[in-house]
Amino acid sequence: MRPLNRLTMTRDSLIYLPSRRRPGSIFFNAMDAGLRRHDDNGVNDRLRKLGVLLMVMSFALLAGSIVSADSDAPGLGYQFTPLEPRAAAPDFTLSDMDGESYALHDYHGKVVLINFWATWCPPCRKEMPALEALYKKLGDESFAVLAVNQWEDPDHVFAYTGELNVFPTFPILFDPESAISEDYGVKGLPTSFLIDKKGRLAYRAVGGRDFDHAEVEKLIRELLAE
Amino acid sequence: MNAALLMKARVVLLVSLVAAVWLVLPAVGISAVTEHVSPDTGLSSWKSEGDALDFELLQVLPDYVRAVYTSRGLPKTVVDKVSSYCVFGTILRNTTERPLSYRVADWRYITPDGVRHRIRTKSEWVAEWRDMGVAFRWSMLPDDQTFAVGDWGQGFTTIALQPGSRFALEYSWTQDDKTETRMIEEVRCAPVEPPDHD
Repeated sequence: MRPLNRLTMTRDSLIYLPSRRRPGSIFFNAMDAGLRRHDDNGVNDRLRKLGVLLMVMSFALLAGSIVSADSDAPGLGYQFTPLEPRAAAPDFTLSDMDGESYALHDYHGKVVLINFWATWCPPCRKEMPALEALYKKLGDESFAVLAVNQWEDPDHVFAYTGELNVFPTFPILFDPESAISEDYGVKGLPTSFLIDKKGRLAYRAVGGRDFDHAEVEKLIRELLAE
Repeated sequence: MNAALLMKARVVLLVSLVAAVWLVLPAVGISAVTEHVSPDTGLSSWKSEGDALDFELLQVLPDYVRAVYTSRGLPKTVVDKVSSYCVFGTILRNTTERPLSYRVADWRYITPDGVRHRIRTKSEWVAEWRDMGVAFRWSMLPDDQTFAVGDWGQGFTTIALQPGSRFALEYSWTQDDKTETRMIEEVRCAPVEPPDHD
């Protein structure tokens, strides 16, 4: 990796500068030129040393913040956003790979995790093992997982699941025209919802999640206890 | 003004400016852009971290774009049109404990001649596909999204430039009614063929 450039400014002040004339370069070149003029006048070079020291300290601080940002790079995450007030989850009836029908209203009284996904979506693939782990852990406790695939056909998805390290045992349903994801206002994949026992949208997560995280389990147990 | 007074004034200016860099910039968040070349593919990616919104651009080969859309069963006209664009995988992430939102319509790419161009949005692609009788609405980065805590997203961003072209990308987001804008310079479109690499 190599640092390219950094610019921080508000919309109103943003000006495009070619890389050869970045603000930092202009600033430091001007400062250096000013110090050289003092040398020409016979003034000692302590000012130059002070300037260099302060510049080094500044760059060290900035470099430290970059290293820190790298080391704190988040993974899938585990947070869900509460949806208030809880609205009724749009009902649907979809088929799985074997043509068996699943209707959301049949899950009334259970907490349901609906995961909108597709095989071509890398984070969908990444979160699948954790989703299976969660389902295995809580699947017997009035908790269900419905993975709603977007646009793809059962043959393609069946082949895909065979490539996974962990074969999903929860229902994979097919939303071939993306009508259901539209009803849920899904803009990007993956997006997941937690439905409470009354069939209401309780939480949403946009982007991949580590469903096997203790905080996710805690959230679901709280919904189960409601 | 004598030379000694002028020198003192310059020292004060020097210390003030360095202090501004040292103290003020970290407080408003500094975006650090790094370029990474994949040892597997030789393709480049650019990642900006340290802001409320992490932003990553990944070069995508035209052949890969064709493969993605062909394997979705989309017609050749759709495949050819999308793969004629300079396509990037784009990953965005809210790194803060407060919601933020973005709008692709607000972003611009700037060509070396200094001209600012708008970016074709997902809605425009989807509308074109709909007119062709294709209901597919995935793969492109959503036009706009509000990311709550922990939310992130990804999708293709399409730039109307030839393979290998260079440009700067200006992107922005809004948090707490304040819009922040950043620029990634010297971004390069993927070449036609996979680059040579170790």
